[in-house]
Amino acid sequence: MNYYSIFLSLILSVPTIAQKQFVSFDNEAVRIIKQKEELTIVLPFNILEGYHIQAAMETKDNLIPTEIIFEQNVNYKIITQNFTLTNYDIVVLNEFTHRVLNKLLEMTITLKLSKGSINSSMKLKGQLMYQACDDKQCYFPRVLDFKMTL
Amino acid sequence: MSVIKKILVQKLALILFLFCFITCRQSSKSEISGGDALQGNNIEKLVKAPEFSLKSLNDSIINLSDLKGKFVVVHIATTWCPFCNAEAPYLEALYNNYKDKNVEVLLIDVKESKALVAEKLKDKYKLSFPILLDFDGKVAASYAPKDVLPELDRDEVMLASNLLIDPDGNIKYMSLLDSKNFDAELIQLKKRLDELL
Repeated sequence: MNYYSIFLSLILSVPTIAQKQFVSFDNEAVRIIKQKEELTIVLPFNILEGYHIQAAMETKDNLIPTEIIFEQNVNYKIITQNFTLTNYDIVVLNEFTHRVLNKLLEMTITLKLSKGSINSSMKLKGQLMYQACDDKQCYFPRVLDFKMTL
Repeated sequence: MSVIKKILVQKLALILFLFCFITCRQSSKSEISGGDALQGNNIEKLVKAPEFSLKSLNDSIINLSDLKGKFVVVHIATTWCPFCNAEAPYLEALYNNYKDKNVEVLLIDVKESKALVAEKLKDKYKLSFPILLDFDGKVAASYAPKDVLPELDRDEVMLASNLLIDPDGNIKYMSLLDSKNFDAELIQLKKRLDELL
C-alpha cells in the first residue's frame, strides 16, 4: 500500500465514523410549489422517537436554538424561511420549564429564481444545527447536512 | 485486481482496524461500569477516580491528587446543557454549605472555550468554586462507565453527571442524567455526602 492509497483510504473512511444523528431529512416527503419565478419548498425533518431538540426561538438560558442555514446559489435567492410545522413539548427543569421540539419539524422556504435558471436543474443545500436530548442524556450539538434537487 | 477494488479492500481493512482500535481504547480507559454507577447511584465497591490535571478559569492547574484528604464533588457540564444550568445554583449552595466541612466542589466543563465558560457559567450563575476546562473531553471520557451508551462518544455520556470522591480518591457516588427523575437540587448527592462525613 503506497502513501497515496493510505491517504485516500483515510479520506474515504471519514464519513463512516461520523457522530450519531438524532434528526433526519426526509427527502421523499419534500413538497415543491412552483409559481412563475418563485418556488415554495417544504422541507421535512424527522426527530428520532424518544428524543427532542431545542426550540427554534425563545430558548431560555444558554440553550442552543434549532437553526437552519442554506448554502447560497447563483440560480436563486431565498426570500423567506420559516418553521411552519413544529411539535412542541414541555420539559420541566425544577424551577423553570422550556419548550422542545419532537417528532416532525418542517421549514418552508420561498426562492426567487434568477433569470435563465427557471427551467434548469438546481441543488438546494443546507445545514440543520440542533442540540438533542432524551430522557437519559443531552448530546453535543450536531450539524445535519442536507441537499436536494429542485 | 483493479485500482478501485484495491482501494475498497484497503478502505474496508482500515475501517475494521479503526473500529477495533477505538473499541479497545474505550474499553481500556475506564474501570467504572454501568452496574457500579446506576444501581441507586451509590458505589460501594472500591472504584478509584481517574487522576486528572486541568487548567481552571483563573489559569491555575488543579490535579485531583492535590485534593487527597478532602471529599470532592465533581459536576461535569457544558454551557448549553439545560440540566447543568438548572443544577448550577444548587451546586453553588452546596459549595457554600459544605466548604467548611472538608468538601471541595469542582465543575469540569467539556470542550468549550474559556471565555464562553466564564460568561455563561461563572458570571451568569455567580459560581465561586473552581471551574476546570476539559478542552478535549478526555477527562470526562475517563469517568464514563464503559457499558453505558456504548454507541456514543465517552465524553458525551458524562454531561450533567455528578460524582463524589472520598478523601482516599475513591468514587463513592455517581449520578448520570435521568431527566425523568431529575434531581436539580442535588438531594441524593447531599444525602450521600452527609452519610460519609
